[in-house]
Amino acid sequence: MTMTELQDATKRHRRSASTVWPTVVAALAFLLAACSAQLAPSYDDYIDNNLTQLSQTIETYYAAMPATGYSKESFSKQEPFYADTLGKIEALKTRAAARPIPEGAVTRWLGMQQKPNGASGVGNEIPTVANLNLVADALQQLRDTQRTSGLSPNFAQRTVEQIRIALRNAITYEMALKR
Amino acid sequence: MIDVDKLIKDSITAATNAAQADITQVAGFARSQFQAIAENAAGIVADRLAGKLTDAEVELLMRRVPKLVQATINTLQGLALITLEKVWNAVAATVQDAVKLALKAPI
Repeated sequence: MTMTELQDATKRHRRSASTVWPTVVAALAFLLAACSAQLAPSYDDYIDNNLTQLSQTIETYYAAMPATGYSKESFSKQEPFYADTLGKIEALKTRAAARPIPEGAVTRWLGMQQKPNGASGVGNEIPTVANLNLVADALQQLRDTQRTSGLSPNFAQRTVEQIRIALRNAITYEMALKR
Repeated sequence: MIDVDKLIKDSITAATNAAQADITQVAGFARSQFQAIAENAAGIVADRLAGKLTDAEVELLMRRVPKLVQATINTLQGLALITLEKVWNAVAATVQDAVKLALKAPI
C-alpha cells in the first residue's frame, strides 16, 4: 500500500466514523427520551394527612399527661388512647405497604429496591413503614410500662422524643413523594 | 442532527437544577435528625446520672437508639431515590427536547 492509498483509507475511515457517531448518539437519545422513570411510590394524601394527625394526637396526649397522670392507677383512663392510636398506626402501615412499588432496572442496579415489609436491612424497607414500626414499638412500651408499674415523667419524655424523630422521618418522606 | 456537545451541557444543567434544592434540604434534614438522636441519647444518660431513670428504663430507651439511626438512614436513602428520579426525568426530558428539535417534529 502506497502512502497516498493509506491516506485515502484513513480519510474514508474518519468520514464513516463521523457519520456513525451522531447516529449512535441519536439512537441512544431516542432510547433515553422514552425512559422517564418512577423510582419511588406515588404520593398518597391519606397517608400524609393521617401522619400529621397521628403526630398531633400523640403530642396532645403527652401534653395532657401531667394532668391525666403517669401512674398505674390512671392507666384505665388512658387505655383507649393506646388502643385507638395503635390501631390507626397499623392501618397506616398497611396502606403505606400496599402502594405499588416501582420495580426497575435502575433501582435494582443501585441495590435500592424497596420492599413493603423489607426484612433485609437498611434501605430495603419503605421508610414510612420502618418508622411507624418504631412509633408503635415505643407506644406499646409506654402502655405496658404504665400498666404494670406506672411511668416516670422522664421515661415518658425520652420516649416521646424518640417517637418525634421517627414521625419526622415518615412525614418528611411522604411529603417528598409529592413531586 | 443532534448537537452532542450542547446536549451534554444541557443534560448536566438539567441534572444539577433538579438535584440542587433537594440535596440542600436533605442535608439539613439529616443534620437535624442525627442531632435529635444524639440529644435524646445524651438526655437518657443525664437522666440516669440524675437518678430520674432506672437501669431498666435506660435499657428500654437505649435499645431503640440504633433502630432510630437505621430508620433515619433508610429515610435518607428513600429521599435520595426521589432525587435520583427527578434527575433522571430531567435529563430524559432534555434529551427528548433535543430529539424533537433534531427531527423538527413531535415524537
